[in-house]
Amino acid sequence: MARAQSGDEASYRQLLKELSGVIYGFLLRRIGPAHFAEDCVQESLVAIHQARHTYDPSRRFRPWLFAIVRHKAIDMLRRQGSYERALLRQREMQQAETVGPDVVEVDEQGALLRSLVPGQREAITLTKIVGLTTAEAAREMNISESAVKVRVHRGIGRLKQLMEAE
Amino acid sequence: MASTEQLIGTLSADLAPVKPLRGGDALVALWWLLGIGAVAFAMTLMAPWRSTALAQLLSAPRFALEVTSGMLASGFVALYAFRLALPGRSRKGLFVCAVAVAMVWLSVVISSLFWPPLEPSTQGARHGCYLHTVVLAVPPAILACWLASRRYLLRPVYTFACLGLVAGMIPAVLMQLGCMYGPVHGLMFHILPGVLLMPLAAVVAMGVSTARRRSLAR
Repeated sequence: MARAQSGDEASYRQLLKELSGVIYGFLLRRIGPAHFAEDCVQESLVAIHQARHTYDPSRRFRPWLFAIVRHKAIDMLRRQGSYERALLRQREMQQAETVGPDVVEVDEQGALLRSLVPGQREAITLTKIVGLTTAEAAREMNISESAVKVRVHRGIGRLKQLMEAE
Repeated sequence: MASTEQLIGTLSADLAPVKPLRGGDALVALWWLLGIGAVAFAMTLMAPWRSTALAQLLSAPRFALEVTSGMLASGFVALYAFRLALPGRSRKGLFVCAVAVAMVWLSVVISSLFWPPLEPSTQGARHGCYLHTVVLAVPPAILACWLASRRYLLRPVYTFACLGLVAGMIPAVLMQLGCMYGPVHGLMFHILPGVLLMPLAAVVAMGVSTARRRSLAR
């Protein structure tokens, strides 16, 4: 990173390539195989690029890197809700054939997700990872939409705490 | 979104050298000291200071504690807020210090409502002191938000809110010396208007974040 700060393009390209793998692995371990992981990796790389002047070469690199990645991951999780709603509205407007979401077998390898209470984990998995809307998740879980929103909100708050505590 | 390979190519092409940020706390200290100096200077231009303020500071320890802890709290909150814009930098210690000193300040301010450390009087009263507090807090707040934006804002709303609070605290505490002394007057017309900068700055940050997100989405 120190070489990238001095404008060394080749070193920077190499660093970003290595980091994309590291970030993907981090997201896979913490959150699981979310459909937005690739987007999150790219957003993290853009953030690293924008924040590269804030890295102090006399300090450790990992805390700086993962502070940005954690922040981006939480941000993406939060935005997924509105993204799914927008997608649903778009689908309705186009009067496309309503098809239920594919049943995705979610491999729960996300260590952080496993540490949530089952209700919050299920709500986040269904809405943020499988990609169901709040209404669909509510039907799936047999609870109200408000309850889903509350569980997702609390779950994300808990995830944020856990990530910050790491 | 383009593939990660393409993105890496774009980001690394024509890479401009950047100067790594070192000694960030010194810049914060400079901003804080300059802010106090500028606000004090502007207050002098607006109206004379309460003539007995210095003697009261020396003779009433609880009043001195109120002013000192208020200033110190603003300093710690400033350091903490600017650290929020540096990814990965430890700030737990600063948070604890800021909260502890702010609690001391608030407890002295609240206890003064029941047991004033000074005899309340209208000597040195400034007409429109609440407006002065808000107006004097705006330039340091804008400068602080601009300086923080030059770092990397992980939590813009929270960071701006903290910076707004600091910028508001500086004239609020100084106004306790420059305007009349009255515990209720101080709380209502100096401290509360200063604290008002906190939600104001948060609203500005929300607006900036939303605008930035929309421009990126286009």
